[in-house]
Amino acid sequence: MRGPTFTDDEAWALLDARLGRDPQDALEATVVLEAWGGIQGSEVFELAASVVGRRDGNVPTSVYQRPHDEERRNTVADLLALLVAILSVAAWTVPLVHEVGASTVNRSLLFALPVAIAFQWILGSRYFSGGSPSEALGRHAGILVVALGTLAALPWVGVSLPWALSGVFASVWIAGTLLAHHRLGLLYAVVVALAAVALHLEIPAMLVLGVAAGFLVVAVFCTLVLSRGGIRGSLATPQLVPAAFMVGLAGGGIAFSVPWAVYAAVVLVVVAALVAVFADDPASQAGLVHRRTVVAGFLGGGIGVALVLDSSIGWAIDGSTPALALLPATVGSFWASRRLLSLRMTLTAGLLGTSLATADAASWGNPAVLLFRGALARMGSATVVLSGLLVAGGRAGGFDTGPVTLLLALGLLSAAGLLVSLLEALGSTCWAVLCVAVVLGVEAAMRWLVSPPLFAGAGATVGGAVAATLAFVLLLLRLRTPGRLLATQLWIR
Amino acid sequence: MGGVSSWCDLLVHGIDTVEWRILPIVAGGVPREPLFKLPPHARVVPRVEIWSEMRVPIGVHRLASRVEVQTGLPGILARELLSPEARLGPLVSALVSCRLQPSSIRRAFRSAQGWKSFVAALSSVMSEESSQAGSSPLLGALDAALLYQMLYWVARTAAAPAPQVDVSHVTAAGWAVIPALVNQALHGTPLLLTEHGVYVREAYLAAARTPMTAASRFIATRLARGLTRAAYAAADVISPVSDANAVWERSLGVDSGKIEVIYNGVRIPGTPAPPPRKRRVVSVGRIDPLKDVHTMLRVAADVAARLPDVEFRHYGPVTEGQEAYGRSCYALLDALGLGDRFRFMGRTTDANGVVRDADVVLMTSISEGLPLSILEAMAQARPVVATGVGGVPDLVRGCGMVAPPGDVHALGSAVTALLVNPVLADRLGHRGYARVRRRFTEEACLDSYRALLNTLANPVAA
Repeated sequence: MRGPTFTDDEAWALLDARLGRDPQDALEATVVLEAWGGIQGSEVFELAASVVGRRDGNVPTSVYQRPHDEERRNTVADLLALLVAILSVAAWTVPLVHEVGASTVNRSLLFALPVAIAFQWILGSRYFSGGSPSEALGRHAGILVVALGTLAALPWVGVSLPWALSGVFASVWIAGTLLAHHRLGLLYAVVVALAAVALHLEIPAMLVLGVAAGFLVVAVFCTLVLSRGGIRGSLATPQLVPAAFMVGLAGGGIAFSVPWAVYAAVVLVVVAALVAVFADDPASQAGLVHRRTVVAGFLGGGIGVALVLDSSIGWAIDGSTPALALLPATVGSFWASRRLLSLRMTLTAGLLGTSLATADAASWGNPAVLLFRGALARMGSATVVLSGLLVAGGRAGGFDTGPVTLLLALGLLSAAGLLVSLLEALGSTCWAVLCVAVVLGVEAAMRWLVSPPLFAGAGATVGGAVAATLAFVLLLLRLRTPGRLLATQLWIR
Repeated sequence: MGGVSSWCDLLVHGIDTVEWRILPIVAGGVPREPLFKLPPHARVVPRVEIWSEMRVPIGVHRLASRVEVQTGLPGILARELLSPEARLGPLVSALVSCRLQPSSIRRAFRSAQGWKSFVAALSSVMSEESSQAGSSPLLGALDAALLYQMLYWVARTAAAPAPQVDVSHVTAAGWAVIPALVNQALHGTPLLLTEHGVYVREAYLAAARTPMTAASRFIATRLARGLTRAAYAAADVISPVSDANAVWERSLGVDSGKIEVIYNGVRIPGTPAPPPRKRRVVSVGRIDPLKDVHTMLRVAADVAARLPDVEFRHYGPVTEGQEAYGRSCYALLDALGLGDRFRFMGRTTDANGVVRDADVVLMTSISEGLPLSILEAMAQARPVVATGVGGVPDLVRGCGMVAPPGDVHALGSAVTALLVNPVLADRLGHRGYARVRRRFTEEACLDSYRALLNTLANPVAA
């Protein structure tokens, strides 16, 4: 059988009926005439060439659909949870200092802040972006919970007080990040607030904090396992091996009760958790993901170290002041980051319908730059307004909000952190690492070269300003060419 | 199980004088269970994942620790894969550089210079005139970015360390040919290409069926053409499974001397069992737009209107990624009110058994090579009603009935005729059985491939 025969007009009618448009080229016409016209052999090629050749093709135009915005999470609930958590932790400081001493609390924060922020950045890079974060989190639920549990258990096994407090602080903050991601930020806030109330009622601090941390760890475990649909597989062998390893080492260190062993055990907790996270990813064999996760951990840890490196900021020595001073910057940064969540969608939508000639064009007024400017405006305005309110409230209420320079220092560090995270999200990890290195380098130099400090938070102010400026310029240079940015940075990771 | 995977299984098990190294190229992020058990003389080498986060193995990174970033790479790939005037030499050189310097790929594609070279090359390609190319659509910046990502994956596929072997046997003229092109250039490895369905044809069919912008359609089909052109130019031998595929290949510029048709083959039972005489119509194939299951359902409705006691059974899973089409088939089944007269039976591991239980075997595809499901039906002496696509008309002529694709009435009438006339059905079935025994046996198929592989691996001895 050679199939039916068609005139050119009949063939064109068939093409029009099947495609609803002109064929793209002779080969498309061939395929359609063969598949739906039943014409076989070399005849179909000749007919298609004849039909397409006789027509004056119009230049096809593309009709694009605007991409959907990424899922917008419950911003109000998340913000509320963040506010309650910060205020509550600030409220912990006074009773804690009263019970265990300012020096102990301060030493614990020096370790807990960098560790917790590093973990939060790791979680953000490894789990909170991409296709199915809950599934990936559930797969690693075992190791995450063992790591958190080990930190939270430090008060119960006789380690020295600063380490015990460090473990509790870090586990509470990391648990809060995980719970907030699962829309349980309010639960976290309630637990932290209840702990603050208990501390003010002079219930023993380590008991209160240990119970709160333990409850949150259990809540995290339940959440991760439930979000994956069951416990099976969450404690699979690849995760258990390093978990057992680190628990054993931590136990050994505790048994000997020597500071270096505890230190090593806590470091091993982090390392083993990283190893476990990297060891198993059946879905993607994700080498680049691993590298990005390590870099994210470094960046987060670096920002955390930057917060505690400036010795003029006494995290506990100055009572609840630094924690309160962190509030405006944190809220401003949070609000700006929400705006930046739609950067990818904005870039894509902004390029819809633009010609190939503009693919490499630079513009300071493109949608991505406008979005970035809007995010910065949010951050700046929120930080300034909330700082003003905090100072005014402090004066009216009679509590100490510290010097204005402290608010400035923390605002700049927070801005640097946000901009660094955006650089990292755009794939410019080397530049992001450089910015963090700049913060740390400037702060370290100020700490050891300028003594006494020029003002409270001088090192953080200068370091944050330099790093934020550098990151700002780098980001602007990238965002002004949206086509190139999307193609070379966002889609080639 | 699909026809191509069954064919692979047949070759790997049937030709045990060859040490097989199987290099899967898969879309990333989806864990897959192997469909077949491999014999001892076959081994799967680490797969190539595209659109995944897989990195190039570390060993290759170390070898290429000091590399020069080829920022022109994206431009070369764009020009030599998309231009109607593309040349094989520069394309292969670029792909070879990817294999030799894998760690430079990401840097090249992330560089501003790489992007500029790509935009310049693409602009040049879009301005080229071709008598057969029709009017090129207006490509936008977003389309360009999407294409850029595709070319990145072409480069990554070239970089994957394909095993060094005596012959590269490629099962499609698309992405699978990329590692073979590099091995041919680096090690002189002969390249044997077997086409079951013509890759570029199926790429065009997919683009014609799927709602997409003119620019996206242009990119998908041009890239498929570029890969196919390279595969045809580089292949030492092309062994289509049907004469119809050979017509396509010649029409796309392949020299006839390169083409050696090797038909698929099936195992022949001793004496065919008699048909069940239950007015049962069976079809075997994936639930996929290429199989045109909608037409099959409408044929069932057409036949059921004339023969209310007819029963249709379709065996085969929904193709991965075609779940929406699968749902549309179930919706159409409901809308046609066929009830139990048409059933989707799911995957089968006994294709011979299910066609043995048929009175008529039906196939409504819009694209085929030489379908195993029809060969299996003929081997069981069952009459076939099929659409005249690919190698089907030549295969079925005189032992079944062929109708144009999508012609519900013609297909329905043919099925009805065979169901109401068992004598005719038996006669056609036995003619099919005789033809399969004569021309489409498993032994003949394996002997042909065995000889061809030996010739390519030992050209001097041959």
